[in-house]
Amino acid sequence: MMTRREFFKLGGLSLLIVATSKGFDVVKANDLKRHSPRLWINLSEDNYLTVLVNKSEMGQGVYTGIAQLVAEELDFPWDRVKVMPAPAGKAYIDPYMGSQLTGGSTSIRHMFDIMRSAGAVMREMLIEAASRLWKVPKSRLKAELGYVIDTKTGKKVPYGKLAGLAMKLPVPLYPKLKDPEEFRYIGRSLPRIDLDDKVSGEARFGLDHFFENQLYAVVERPPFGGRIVSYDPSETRKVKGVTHVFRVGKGVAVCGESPEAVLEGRKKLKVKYSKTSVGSTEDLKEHYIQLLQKRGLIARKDGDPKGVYEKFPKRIELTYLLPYLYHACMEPMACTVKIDRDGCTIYAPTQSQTSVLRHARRITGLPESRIKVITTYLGGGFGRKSNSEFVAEALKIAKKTGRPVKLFYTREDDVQSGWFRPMCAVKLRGSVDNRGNPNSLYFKIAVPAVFEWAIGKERRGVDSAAVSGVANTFYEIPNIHVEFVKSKVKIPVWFWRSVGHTHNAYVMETFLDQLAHLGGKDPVDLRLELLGMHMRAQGVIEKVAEASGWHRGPREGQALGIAYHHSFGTHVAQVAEVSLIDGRVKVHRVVCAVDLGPLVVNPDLVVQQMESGIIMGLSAFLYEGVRFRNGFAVNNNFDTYPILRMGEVPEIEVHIVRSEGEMGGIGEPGLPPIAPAVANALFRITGKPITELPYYGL
Amino acid sequence: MELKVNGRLYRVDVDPRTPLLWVLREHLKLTGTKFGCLKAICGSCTVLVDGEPVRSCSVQVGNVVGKSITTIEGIPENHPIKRAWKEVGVPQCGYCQSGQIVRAYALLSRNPRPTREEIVRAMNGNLCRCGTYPRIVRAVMRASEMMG
Repeated sequence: MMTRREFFKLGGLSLLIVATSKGFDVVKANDLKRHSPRLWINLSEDNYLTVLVNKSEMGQGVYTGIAQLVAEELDFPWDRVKVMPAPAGKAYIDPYMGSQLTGGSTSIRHMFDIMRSAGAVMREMLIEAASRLWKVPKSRLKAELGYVIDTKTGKKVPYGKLAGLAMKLPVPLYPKLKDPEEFRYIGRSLPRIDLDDKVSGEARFGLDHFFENQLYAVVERPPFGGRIVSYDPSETRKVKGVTHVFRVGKGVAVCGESPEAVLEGRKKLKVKYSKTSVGSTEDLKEHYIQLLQKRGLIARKDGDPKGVYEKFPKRIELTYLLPYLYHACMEPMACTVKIDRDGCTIYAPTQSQTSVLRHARRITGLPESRIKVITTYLGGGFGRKSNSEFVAEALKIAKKTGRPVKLFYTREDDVQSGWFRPMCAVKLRGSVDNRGNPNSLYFKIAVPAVFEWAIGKERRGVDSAAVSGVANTFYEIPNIHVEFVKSKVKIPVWFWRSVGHTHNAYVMETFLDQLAHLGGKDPVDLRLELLGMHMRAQGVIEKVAEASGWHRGPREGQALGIAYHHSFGTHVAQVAEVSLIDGRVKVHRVVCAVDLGPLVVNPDLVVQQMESGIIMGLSAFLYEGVRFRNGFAVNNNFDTYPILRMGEVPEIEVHIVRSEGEMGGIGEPGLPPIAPAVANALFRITGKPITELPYYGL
Repeated sequence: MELKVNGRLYRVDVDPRTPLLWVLREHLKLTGTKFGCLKAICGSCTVLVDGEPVRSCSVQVGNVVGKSITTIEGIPENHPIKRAWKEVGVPQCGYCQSGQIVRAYALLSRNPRPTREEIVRAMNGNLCRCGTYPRIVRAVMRASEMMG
């Protein structure tokens, strides 16, 4: 956390945001008598705006979006805006989450009013300052692009020159936010604020900081569900540059003076593992299928799904089996930490500053005021980096060795650390009435409870991720049964971009096409009928149907597939143009329509996130799934766990549909529909439903 | 040994079998070159050796002594490839981008007017998890135009 001294050195006008029981307050830095001020935005005397962002930049463009909100209300030139990662601390929590965490596609939704208010407060204080300085009424003054202007005389002064005076003024309690028609930046595709860093090579990630006397460390891990019984470090210790070998957490750390030394040393480590309950891929498949026989917990029951299903002859039953998925961030877990007499410094690509602080307090015994967490850029996050186990390991190693530590996971370590999207088996039953309308749906899923793994202890009840997008589906089917059976397999699972929606959207949307087929309905028409009450859902489906030429039909040799899904407050529909040649899937084009509400902060960032979700989702559909042998992940690098390459990327066309209603998120909702859209197109070609993923086999 | 990186000579004292990647990043602190797979599959560590793109994770430093090494830091900020990258707005998380830009720079040095197919063929070995691929294609085409 920034110290009081560092903070006052900034000069200018600094505003803070304080979470209160009613929401939040904007206050001036010098109003707080606390030792550690809580800086959020600073206007320097030379007229630069610095915004401290309490959300992690992992590619989704949050630094840009948040800065855009402040610059909008302040009315400030974009090329004079800078961002810094906010330190970790209570002062920077997201008041709607109660923690400092980036996840759930919530950043802009949660920070929208807060950051705009901070900008508006600053603008009003600057106008007040100019009014006092020039002794003219405020009504004559306007604030525009970094200057306060006297509209009568044309006299103008840069904001920065007023900062000192403004700092002495009271904070307005009810700043007036701009009306949408006054927006200068919100709704515009401003260039990303991190472009220069990321094109020059200057962007710093988890492994890009250096401490004097630092050690490198890697950790050898046990099989999932097992442990390291013993290890023989004698050959490892002989490697030049290796300094320490010891147990850390469930693994064994090898430390040394260079990355090449620790990697060489680790190769020579002789490790004995215990037996594990986690066996092979085949065992896991059987486990999940068997689990469907067990009675689970009912998440939703409407009407009489069993009775209706048995009564109507047009019915279908399918069992799906979907694999564990690896996040495959291009940056494997890595961080750089130092513990000394002054405190603890952590450079970490983390989505959860709160959990990093919690680990650091526990491991170092230091108070929060002496723990400095610098959030680096994240080389991909996708949910994985909200798990801070890697930082805890680095801190333990630093504490034990007494030296600063750079901990890095190799690609293989990264896979073997786990925290995957869970595997699941799902049984679906459905029927259609005489007119082809679906009248019953039975959904039973056997899957681990992600939220249980996330909080680290057992929970009762239905895991909300397990049934997300199904228990709360918008489709109006009169008789519905949703049931959850918990798997306790000891492979750690975690949030993977769009979480439970990844498997549930696939299952629901492909099954819906089965029901459409059974009832002789067009998949677009059926969706529109079943979404009778949901205008926003219908809006994206209609848009995507029109833009893709759905009703004209596919090109020669191709098929079209559609899927729709609502997640994280956002509605997304996608149509995929697909062909199948010699067993190889070719996705030619994807048309995507997205509705995230009336306001879109930065349309190009929305397009980027749709492209990103489509490509990652297509990658998972075609190729991805972790395989296991004796508790070890066996496909643990990109040669055996391939992800989509450029040559297989379809042309992508994104349409943003505006609507009334609440703002939705954007990082995740683009992903769930793509796999079922492609599968539905393939069904039209082959006539066979695809119930096991990945398409090319596990 | 002596290494020539981005036109500058550096003295390094390492085992000649050390991967070039670690020497660049951890000894010379040129951290723009990224570590991704250590198996020459992902392309995050791509640098140029005498103008040819190589995977620095799988090249021993002893084999590049006396050769000219170019990293992301050695490509000028006003070079069309970097300008096009910004104009198109390619990066998301940014981690693979150094390798992508270096690979694209190598392509354009050899073939200033690549077709879409040639771009895909050249760039297909560089992985990106954020899915910036469509924009990479656009940026390479844009850079090609800029180079006239």
